Amino acid sequence: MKKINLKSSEMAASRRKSISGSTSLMISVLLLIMSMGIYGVVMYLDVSTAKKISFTKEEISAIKKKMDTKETQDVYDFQGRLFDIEDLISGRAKQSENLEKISIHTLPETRFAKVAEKVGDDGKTEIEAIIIIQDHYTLSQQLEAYSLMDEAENIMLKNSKQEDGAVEAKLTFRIK
Amino acid sequence: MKLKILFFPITLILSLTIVIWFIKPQWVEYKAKKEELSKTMEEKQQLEKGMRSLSMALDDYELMDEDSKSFIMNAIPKNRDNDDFIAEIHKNVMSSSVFLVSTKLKEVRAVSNRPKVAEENEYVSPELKETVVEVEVIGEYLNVKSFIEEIDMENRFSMPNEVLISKINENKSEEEDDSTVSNLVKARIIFSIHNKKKDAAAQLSKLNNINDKVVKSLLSTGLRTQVIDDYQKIITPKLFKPVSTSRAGKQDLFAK
Repeated sequence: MKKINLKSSEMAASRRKSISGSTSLMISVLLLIMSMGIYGVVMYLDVSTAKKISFTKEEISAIKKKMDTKETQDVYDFQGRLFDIEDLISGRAKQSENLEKISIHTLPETRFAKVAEKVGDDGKTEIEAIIIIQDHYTLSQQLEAYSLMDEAENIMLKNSKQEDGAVEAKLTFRIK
Repeated sequence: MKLKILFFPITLILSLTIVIWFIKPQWVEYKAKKEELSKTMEEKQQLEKGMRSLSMALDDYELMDEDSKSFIMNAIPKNRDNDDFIAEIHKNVMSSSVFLVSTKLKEVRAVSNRPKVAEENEYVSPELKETVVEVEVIGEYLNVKSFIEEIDMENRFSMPNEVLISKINENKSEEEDDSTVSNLVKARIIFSIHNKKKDAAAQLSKLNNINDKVVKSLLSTGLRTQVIDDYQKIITPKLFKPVSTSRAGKQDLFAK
């Protein structure tokens, strides 16, 4: 049986036009809804983030308020003094301890006429002493005894002179 | 039909306008706020962590015995308290049996061992102040040494600067024999004492912002009290131990 095409080519074209017209309308509406929707979501995120920031800032203020009390001031003041002492004791030399060190290494026949201690900028103590000793041999022994001092350095005999049957010597050294 | 097709480009332009004029700026604003939130959260977390350390420090301070607190407060008092210190010197003079020739409090200056940063219109934390003390005494060497030891062992923190000990010239008359010659020495001792006013206006939250060393420490490690033991050890006297391997060892350096 022979098939007959009842639709004309003009009708088919008009139908295609009508489909594309509704689709474009739908796409347009969808596009509009989507852009409005995205704007709404971003707006919501922005507002909710702002709220979170404000809430967190309030929490921070509350913590800071807890930090600034009289009790914390007392602890701050106390810790400050502890740090001050810590800084100071790191470079502190004991005057009596240095005299003790010298005593330990002084020969019984050595007699001091003068001893001076001065703390230098590096925290080391500069010792200057005038000693009276019977002879140069004992003086050399005395210098050797001081050189045995663990923390002594730069032991120097500045000068020595024979006077009234004894030797007067000026020496300097540093104690750490 | 033609109107429907025309609607598509119109909505496309409208959508693009919404994207460019509304969504984009809102998105930029949101990103900035998100970043701010992240920073604020981080700050909060750090403060919470710091607050935990500070609470521990507060508890430690609360539980600390009063002697330890007084020990530190006497070492660096709030005020100069020079009258109290001179009274202490006199007490040491008496106990060491030396004669006090003079006492001078030479100068007061600030010790800049801890730099302080102050913002505009904000308070500046009190500084550690130093007073230089010069004391002159006369006595037998061992007594003078004992006096110096007493100063070294004082609870009030002192920083030694200088000591000069010299034998007093013997002006003996012809009638006097050697047995009556005194064994006196004169000593000039120079050292520093310190004081610091209390931070009555200290606000830890503000000090935290300017990186204050003390606040940073309190908020990270709590109260650091090791220095109390260290200082106690420093002011504990040590015994005299003569060197046993040689014949050296003489207590009175000025004795014949």
